[in-house]
Amino acid sequence: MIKTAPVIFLILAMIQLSVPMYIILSKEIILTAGKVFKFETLPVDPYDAFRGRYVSFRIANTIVTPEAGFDNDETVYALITNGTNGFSYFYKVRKDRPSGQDYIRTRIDYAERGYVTIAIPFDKYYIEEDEAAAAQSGSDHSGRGTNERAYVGVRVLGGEAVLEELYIAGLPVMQYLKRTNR
Amino acid sequence: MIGGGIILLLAHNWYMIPRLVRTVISLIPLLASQIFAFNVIIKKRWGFAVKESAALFLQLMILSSISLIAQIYHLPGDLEQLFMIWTFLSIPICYLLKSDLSFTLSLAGAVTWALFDRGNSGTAALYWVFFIALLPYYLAGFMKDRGSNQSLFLTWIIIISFCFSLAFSFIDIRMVDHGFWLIAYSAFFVTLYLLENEIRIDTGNLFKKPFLKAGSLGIGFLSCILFTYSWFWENAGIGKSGGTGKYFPAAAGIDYFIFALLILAPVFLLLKNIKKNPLVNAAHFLMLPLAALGYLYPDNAKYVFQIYSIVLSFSLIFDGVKKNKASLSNWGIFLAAVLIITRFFDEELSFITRGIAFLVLGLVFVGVNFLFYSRKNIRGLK
Repeated sequence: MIKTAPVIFLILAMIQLSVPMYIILSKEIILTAGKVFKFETLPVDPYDAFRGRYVSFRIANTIVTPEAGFDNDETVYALITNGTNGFSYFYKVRKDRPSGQDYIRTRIDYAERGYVTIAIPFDKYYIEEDEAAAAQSGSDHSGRGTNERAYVGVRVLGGEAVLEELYIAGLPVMQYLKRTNR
Repeated sequence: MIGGGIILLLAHNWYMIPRLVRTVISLIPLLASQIFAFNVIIKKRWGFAVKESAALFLQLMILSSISLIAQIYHLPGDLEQLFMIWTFLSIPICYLLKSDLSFTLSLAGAVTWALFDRGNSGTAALYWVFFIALLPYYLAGFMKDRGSNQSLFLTWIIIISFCFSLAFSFIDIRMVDHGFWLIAYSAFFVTLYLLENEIRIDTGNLFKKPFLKAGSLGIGFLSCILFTYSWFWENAGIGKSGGTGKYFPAAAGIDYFIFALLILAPVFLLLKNIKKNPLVNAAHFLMLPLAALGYLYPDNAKYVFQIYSIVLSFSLIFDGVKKNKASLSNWGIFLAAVLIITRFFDEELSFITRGIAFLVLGLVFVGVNFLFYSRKNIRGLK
C-alpha cells in the first residue's frame, strides 16, 4: 500500500522546486530571446541584508507625460524607444497592453498632474561585496564631466525586463574594475 | 544552524561563477533539505528534534534558493511576494513533518507578508487564508493534549499572532471609522480572559493559563495605561476618518465579520459562565461596553477608564482575599499602581494627590499580604 505522507511530500517538493525553476526559465528565455535596450543610469547606494551587496542606480528617464489620468501604484505599460544619443527611454504609458511595440509592464510610482514617474523593475545590480563600493563609485561619477558614463543593458520580452549587464565607461562592470585596479 | 550557515556563505556574492552554474548551485541546498526531510518522513524512527531540524532546514532553504535566484537575475527586492510564496510553500511542511517550529515560522511568514502588503496599500486579506490553513494543525494538537508543552507553546503563538493580525485587519474599518480597532482589541482580550472559564490549561509551569494571562495583560495594558490618556481618544468617534489610504469594501467585509465574532464571543462566554467568578468576570467584561461607550463619546472616556481601572483593581483585590489567592490580589494592586505611576505623565494631578494615592496603595499592599500571611500561619498551627 502506498503511504500518503511521502507521496504528498514528493508533490510538495516538486512545487517547491518549481518556483525557483520557473524564475530561472522565464528569465533565461528573456535573456536569450529578448530585445536589448540601453538605459542611462543616475547614481545612489544601500545594503540589502537578504542578498548581500549591490549597486543601486536610478534610470535617467522615468518621468513620462501621460495622455490619460493615472493613480499611484496603478499597473501600466511603459513604451520604450531609442533616442538619438544611443540610449533608450520611456516615452509613453498606457493602461492597455500594446501590440507591435516595445514595452515593459510596471506600475506608477508617483502620479502628479501633467506627468507620472514609473517604477523601474531593474534598479539593482548584485555584485561581489568588496567590488560593490568601487563599482558604485564608478557609477556615481557617470555623467559628471568624466568619460565614465554608466548604463545598463536590459533585455525585454513580452513586457518583462531582465537586467543583463551594468556598463561603466563602455565596459561590463567587472572588466571596468579590473582595468582600473579598483 | 547549518541551514543558516549555508545561507550566509551563499549570500556572500559569487559573481565570478558563470550564471547557469550559479543557478544550479542555488538549487542544491533546497534539494538536499528536501532529501533530508523525505528521509525523515519515510523512516518514522526519527525523534522530535530531527523532525523539527528537517522542517526548519527545508523552510530556510526554500527562502535562500528563491533569494539567490532573484540575486542572480538582479531582480528588484520584492519582499512581499517573497514572503507570500514562502508562506504558501511552508504551510504543508508543518503537517507533513509534524513540526511546531514550522507552524510558528509559517504563521510568522503570514504576519510578515500581511505587514508588507499593508505597507504597499494592500488588503492583507490572504492572511486569513493562511491562518485558516494553519488552524487545523494547532487544533489537532490542542484536542489531543491541551496541557502539553507543544500545545501550550502554540497557544501562545496563536495569541501573539492575533495581537498583530488585529492591527492590520482593522485598517479598512479605520479608514471610515477611526477607533473601531480599540473596541476590537478590548473584545479580543476580554474573550481571552473569559475563555479561561471554558478552557483551563493549568500545567504548573510558567506559561500555564495562557488565555487568562494574555487576557489579563491586554486588559490591564489598555484600561490602566492607554485608555486613560486624552490624546488616545482625540481621533476616536463615528465618522472621524482614520487614514487617507485606499478603502477596500471587500476586505472591510472580512473585518466587520471578525469584529462581529469578537463582540459576540465575550457576551456568550459571560452568559454561559455567569455563575463562575461573577465579580471578576463581570469586572473584566465591563471593559468592552466601556470601550464602545468611549468610542461613541470620546470626550470623557479617559476619566471613565481611570475609574474603571480602580474598580477592576479592587474587584481583583477583593476576589483574591475571598479566595485566599495572594497572586490575584497582588495583580489588582499592581494594576492600581500602574494607573497611578502613569498619572505622573498626566499633568492634571498634583504631587500631593499622587503621594497620597501611593501611600494608600502601599498600605493596601502591606495589609492584604499581611492578611494572607496570617491566614497561612493560622492554617499551619491548626
